[in-house]
Amino acid sequence: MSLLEKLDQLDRRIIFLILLLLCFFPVLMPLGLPVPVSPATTSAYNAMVTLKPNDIICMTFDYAGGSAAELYPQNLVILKHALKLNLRAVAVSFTVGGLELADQCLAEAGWGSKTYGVDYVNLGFVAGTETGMAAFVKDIQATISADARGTPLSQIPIMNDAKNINSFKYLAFTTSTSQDMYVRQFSGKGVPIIGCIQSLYFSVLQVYMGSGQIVGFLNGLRGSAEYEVMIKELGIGAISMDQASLTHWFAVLLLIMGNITSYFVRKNPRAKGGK
Amino acid sequence: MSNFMRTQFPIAIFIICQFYIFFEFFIPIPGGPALTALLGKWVVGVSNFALLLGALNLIRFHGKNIVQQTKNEWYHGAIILASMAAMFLSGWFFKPVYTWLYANIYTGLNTALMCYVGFYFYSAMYKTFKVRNFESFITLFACITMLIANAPISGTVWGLADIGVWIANVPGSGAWRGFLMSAALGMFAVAIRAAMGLERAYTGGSD
Repeated sequence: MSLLEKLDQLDRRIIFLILLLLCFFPVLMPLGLPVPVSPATTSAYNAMVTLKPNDIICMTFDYAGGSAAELYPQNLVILKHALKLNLRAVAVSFTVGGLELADQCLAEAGWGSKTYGVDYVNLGFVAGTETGMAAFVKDIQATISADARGTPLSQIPIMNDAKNINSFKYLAFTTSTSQDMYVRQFSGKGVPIIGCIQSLYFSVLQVYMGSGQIVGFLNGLRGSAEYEVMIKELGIGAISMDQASLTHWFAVLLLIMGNITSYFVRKNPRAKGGK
Repeated sequence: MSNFMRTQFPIAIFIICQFYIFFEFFIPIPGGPALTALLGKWVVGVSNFALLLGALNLIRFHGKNIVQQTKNEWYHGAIILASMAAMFLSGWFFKPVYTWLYANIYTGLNTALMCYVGFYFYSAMYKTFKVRNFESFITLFACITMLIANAPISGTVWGLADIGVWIANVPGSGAWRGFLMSAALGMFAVAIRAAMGLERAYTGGSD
């Protein structure tokens, strides 16, 4: 069996092993590969720094544990930045799994040092997906009666200033599924919209950014790393960038190698079963 | 339940609500926005009931498997129902336990499942993503350029990431807009069918 044939029939466990090494090696020995900041992240950052203290931002948490590796660091870094700028925050989720993540993220970002209900609130889960969003945009208190802790919204001071989408000066939606409904419901209302997405949806958000329907977006873990670089507070995003660079290039290598070997093996009659 | 209550009545409610919301969007009606907002609020309420219905259905399905000791299935049902009960009861009575279960078990398992899929993606890239015709070559080329564009280090080499970004911005945007337009037209066609009472799947019909 020639080398090309051996490569063509490469045991997938070898690929798994190399991938594992590429994931673990940079964590143990960081390479410090550069992280250039993309225009989408710069726009998201700029939309935040133009806000004044006490302005209210809204952030949705519409994902569960499986996508948290990519999306949670984005929420974390934006909330850390908002805290630095003395903004107020409203968290809400349109999927069931997001409620706990919002609590966890607010605590980890340091919002515990602020007063719950005055400076920040977690509104919890709003059912109805897109219809829920449409209702939320028009009138928050008519859509939900209590926050995630069960306190009526009428007794939460921050909600006196957060009546509908126009009360927010910045809205970041975080989702692991379709972004279209967020753009449909939130954009065009005069509020800068930021998308926090998995890298998978990079090209979709590019479209919305190009059309001006969103101001900027964070592209997966890379987006959070770029944002961490911009606010000079390195976290899990920046730590993971060596892994991201290596594993992406490994994928490119696999695609090219897989095609080259298969091309030459197809050309070789022996590999087709001939003598 | 009579046929009227089972099929015609839900369709009538649907058609009235659909027409009202559709025309209220274009024609100013006094008090119209308030009624639309109220309808939206009702949808939120009904969606909550749908969650409850889902939970009850899960209990019914797996409960039946457990009671009947269905081979190779009853213990899966038992694990699901036990997990469900643990999350429900802890969420209701012991919030710290619920938070711990969510952060350390649910999130971990969910992430592990995604990672597991990720490994197979890599294997599939090598084993199955082969160029066999022009279309697959285009797909492969777009895939490689997007991977390069998404790798953070590519941005440090002039022009390397730009091909992928251009593909996303120009042909990708065009294709996506076309897709969105066609999907919107499709949704409009479905809405017209529903308004004419031709879409009956939600009443238990066949179409």
